[in-house]
Amino acid sequence: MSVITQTLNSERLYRVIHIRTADNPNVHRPIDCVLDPRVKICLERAELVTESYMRTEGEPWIMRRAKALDHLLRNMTIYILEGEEIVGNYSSSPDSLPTHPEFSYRWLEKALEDEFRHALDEEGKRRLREINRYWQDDSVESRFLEAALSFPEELKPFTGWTGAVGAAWEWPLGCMVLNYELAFEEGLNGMLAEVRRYRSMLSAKDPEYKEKQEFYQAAEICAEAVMAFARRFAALAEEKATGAEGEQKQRYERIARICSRVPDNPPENFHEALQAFWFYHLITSQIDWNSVGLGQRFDQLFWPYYEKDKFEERITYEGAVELFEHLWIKLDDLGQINPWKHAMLQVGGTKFQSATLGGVDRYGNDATNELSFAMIDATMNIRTLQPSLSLRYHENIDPRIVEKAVDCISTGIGMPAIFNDKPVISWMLNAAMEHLYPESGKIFGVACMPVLKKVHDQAKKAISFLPKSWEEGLESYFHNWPYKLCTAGGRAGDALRGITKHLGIFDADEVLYFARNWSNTACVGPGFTGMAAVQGSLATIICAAVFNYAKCLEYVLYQGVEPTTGEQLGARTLDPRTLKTYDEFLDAFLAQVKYALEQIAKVYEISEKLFEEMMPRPLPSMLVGRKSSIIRGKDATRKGDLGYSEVFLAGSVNTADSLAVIKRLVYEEKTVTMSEIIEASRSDWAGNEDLRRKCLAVPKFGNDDDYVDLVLEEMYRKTVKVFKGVKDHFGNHLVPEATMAGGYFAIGVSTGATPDGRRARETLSDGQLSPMHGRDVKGPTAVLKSCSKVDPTRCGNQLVNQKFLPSALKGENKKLFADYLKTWSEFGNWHIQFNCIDVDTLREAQAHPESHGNLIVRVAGYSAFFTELNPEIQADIIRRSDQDLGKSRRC
Amino acid sequence: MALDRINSWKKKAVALARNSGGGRLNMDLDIQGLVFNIQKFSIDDGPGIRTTVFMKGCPFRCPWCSNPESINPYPEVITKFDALCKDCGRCQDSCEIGAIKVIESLLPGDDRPRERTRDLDRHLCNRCMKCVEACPTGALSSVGEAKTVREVLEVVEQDRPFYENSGGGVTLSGGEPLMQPDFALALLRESKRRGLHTALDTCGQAPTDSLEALLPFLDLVLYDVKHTDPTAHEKAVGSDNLTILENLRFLSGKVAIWLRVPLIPGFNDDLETLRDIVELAGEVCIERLFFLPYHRWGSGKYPGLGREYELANTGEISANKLETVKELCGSSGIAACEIASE
Repeated sequence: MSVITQTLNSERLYRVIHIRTADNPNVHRPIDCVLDPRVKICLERAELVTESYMRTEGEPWIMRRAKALDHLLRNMTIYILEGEEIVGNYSSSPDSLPTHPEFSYRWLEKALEDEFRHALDEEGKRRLREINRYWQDDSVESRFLEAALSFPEELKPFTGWTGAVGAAWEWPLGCMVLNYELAFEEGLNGMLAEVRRYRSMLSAKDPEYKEKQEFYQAAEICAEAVMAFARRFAALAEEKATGAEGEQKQRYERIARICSRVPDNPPENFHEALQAFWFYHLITSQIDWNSVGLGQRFDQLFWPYYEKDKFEERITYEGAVELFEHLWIKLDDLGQINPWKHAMLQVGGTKFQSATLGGVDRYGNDATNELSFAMIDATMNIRTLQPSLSLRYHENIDPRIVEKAVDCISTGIGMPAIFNDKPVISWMLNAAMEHLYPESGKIFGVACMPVLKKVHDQAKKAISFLPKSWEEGLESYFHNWPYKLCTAGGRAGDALRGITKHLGIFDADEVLYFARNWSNTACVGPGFTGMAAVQGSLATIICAAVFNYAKCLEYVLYQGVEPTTGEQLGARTLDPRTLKTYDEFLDAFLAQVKYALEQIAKVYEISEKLFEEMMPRPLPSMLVGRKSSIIRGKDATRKGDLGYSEVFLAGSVNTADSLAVIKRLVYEEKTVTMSEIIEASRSDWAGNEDLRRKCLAVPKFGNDDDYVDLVLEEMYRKTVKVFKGVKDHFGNHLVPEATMAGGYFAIGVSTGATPDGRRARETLSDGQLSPMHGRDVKGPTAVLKSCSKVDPTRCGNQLVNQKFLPSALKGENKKLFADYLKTWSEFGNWHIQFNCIDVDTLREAQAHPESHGNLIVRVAGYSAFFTELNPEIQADIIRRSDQDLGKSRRC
Repeated sequence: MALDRINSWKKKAVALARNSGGGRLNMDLDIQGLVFNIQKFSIDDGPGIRTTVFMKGCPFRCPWCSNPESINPYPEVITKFDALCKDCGRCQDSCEIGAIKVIESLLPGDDRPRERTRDLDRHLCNRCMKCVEACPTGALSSVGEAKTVREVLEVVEQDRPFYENSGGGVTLSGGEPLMQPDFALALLRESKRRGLHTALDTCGQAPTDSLEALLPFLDLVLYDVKHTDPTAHEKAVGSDNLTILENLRFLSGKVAIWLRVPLIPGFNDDLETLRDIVELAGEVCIERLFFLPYHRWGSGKYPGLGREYELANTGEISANKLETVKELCGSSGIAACEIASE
């Protein structure tokens, strides 16, 4: 732990948006945003970009984009704070946030009158309006609104938040995962040389000559601008060094030396590698484009540099930890001011930058190394919320790293999240086969890719005439076929794979390596390290992301009519009272899901085309994948490798619980009628408390009860099929994504009472597999057992949040906890993370015992449900936990 | 058609397998006992992640008991009128002997009855549990349920993967499991038959015979010793400790023992008693010795059971005392002697 990083960290202002329930919440606007009044908006970026765009009118969009970045990087204010080892800033002062008017600006103008009014003074607001005038016709937003005018009437609500779904076209999250390994290996100079080489090979007869020429030119401009940016820091550091003394002088000199070398040249030591990484990440994800995600295996990426330094005795373990701390501060310092629709998802302003550690290497052996420990140590020392650490767990993992992770979790910071290599790797192979750009197949050792895909599609069609049960049987036999292709068949399989490898049509080892090298891109979405990865990779993360299952269930009850406003927002399904069986009811639900997805895909198609046209990303394009953009001469927004579109899900567990209620009470026991359920939901259970208790008594997910667990499994399995039936504008099907980050709170406010006993506006369950809070009363083992019944390769990825008192993870219990994790990994579940029960939770539980029935607290050899204890004892526990957690910022 | 036929064959085959297996002849499976809780993820009742089966009925009346619902050997009604009662009156209607009474308390300065609470007259109550069935809010609930070994193990087996990875298993606790010797024996025998690690949490107050009968099916005994002096013991909990000590000596060397000592202020926390206990632990063959400092977490359950918490004015064990115990542990020469804490 170093004093310098502690000071740097404590002097920082958190530039993130928080949310709270709106004063008059309604289904279309559930929340308000809150920003620390000390945080200001920096207009410099907006001004410079506008200036450049004004100068480049009439030029192709890609050139305008590149020149704007060039103008920005050469002219923006830069600074180096005292004590910093890794440099690079994104706004003119440490207390301000830039804005991106070329995407959208109307929401900001409106918000400046209201929730963000402290962020700019009157003069600033006037200047901003002036800048915005230029974007009246030329921002993506303006073009989109123009296109929206001609939307059919029923599509119009889907440009906003309908309560069930909302598109993220105003503020694209566009996550891109760069291939840092390649960028480090060749240096930006090397990449630039590649661009020039391919440009020189370009033939004027090429039908796409103009487009390719423009791409290469834009890439060159961007690369040179990045180098100039680094040189500016070198010059600044040199200048500062002359006025400094002692240690600080050395530090400035070191910065000057490093910034004059990277990112142009391949880094030569650990520090240079970190700085090069930071330049790339800062520019691609904050300055050029306000995107989210990270997706790198830090311990693998930086290992060669650390190993070399260590061997030459230039660095110690503590030194590496300290440099990580510097980088963590930088990553945590990225922030964004964004429309409430996005704040709803990104509550707490997180940019979902996740750093992956652990996991397996190319051959399936444990890849944990010293840097894995250093990453956790850095987080424990500095306690930043970003990057969020993701530990890849597998059966041969070093037990010491698990122990270290448990230590970190027990400090109450909720990190690292733990991922299971077993299901993720096979899931990745599926995704690879489905979404790999056939042309790129060869680079990844699957030359036969297009053929394989075609065979699969044809086979699927061929079996469609069979009876349903046969079809399902065949499907489950061939389920997960890409993974089986790489591993199955015993010796005969190995021999076959040997032959295909020799012939160059299918290199199973290469493909497996590709999947084994996955990293967590954002939240719980895995990506291929260095490949464009998930979440659109492109402009908007698809379909804006936000999707609410619970609302779709509401629509079934009201035949697609939003009960609070009377609008027809869902499909006109049959009157639920006329549905005879549970299967019919489930089909109606799936029809609602399909309708919402289709609408959003239509909106997405238009917005995505606009982003593709107007907002190409030449810089990340040249750094992403294995040079595939350079080889093709096309920007990655024209379709990159593995770029596919995800939909973020909320309310899935509530919906499954509700379906179980309907299945049991209405269709099996027939003790309640559908009309009663509808009436109770509409009136938010008013006067129906008896019915509510009846509904609450039906088994709930998370208690190892097969009845409801299988209802949930069936629902997930079937909705995934619905997702597969809806295509994005590239023709790829949509992919459900388990994460909802913080959205479950805001989306809950938009959602009426649900048949599972949840009241209107109450929070939804957090994540795809976390039981609804307070309803998992059989303890943590039962939760995992429930989850184990849902197969992620069939039902999409998962997110499970577990709550523990920090004291439960200390001393002798550490071993038990490791055993618990081992069992979890054997179950083949996707993800688990542990949030510690903090004092606020305990207080909340004291006030609302009904929704915290699952809180277990322990004392010498005795455990009890918190809500059942005496008020005095509860107070005592709160006091003790307060001491225990001490100064932890978040739990 | 064909599928239907296959399905019907399948059904027949499964039924045949079920009926012809050992299960049908296994008498243990249908033995009933009175259980009041089956707690998963128990990590304080033996090694690993365990499931603890709490059995009802206890020979002692320890005033510090943190599971007072375990004491009576019959099902009981727990009342939570203050917190949950919505005054619907259904419990009175259902009670045939009128054991549920309404108390209307007048607030001073106002002539209308303001507060209506209810009370259960436990002398009248015949525990027919009709009121519990009638209560819609959970203000009345029952504790203690007759369960067969089959039912108990169905729940216990759910967590088997966790036992296998952590070295856990099933623990019988209570109350006092040896109050239901036949059930305890059947449960342990069946658990062992299924390859589970078994532990028995006992206070030792039982005929040596019934302990001996369990021995072949036990991997571990968690043995409570409260005091070494018979008079003090009798004064506090209702009977002396001669049987306990005798049984401890009997078990010594025959099975792994974890000795557990509740540290109760004013009862056994004086230096002399503590020394005696450690000395006793040294005389018998045990694996570990735990001191469990007194806590009041169970006190909230007393009113709902119509009981009074006698130790309401007793504080916690002071830090000084804990320090003394620690020193004692250090000098005891027992390999694993510790204070169990959070």
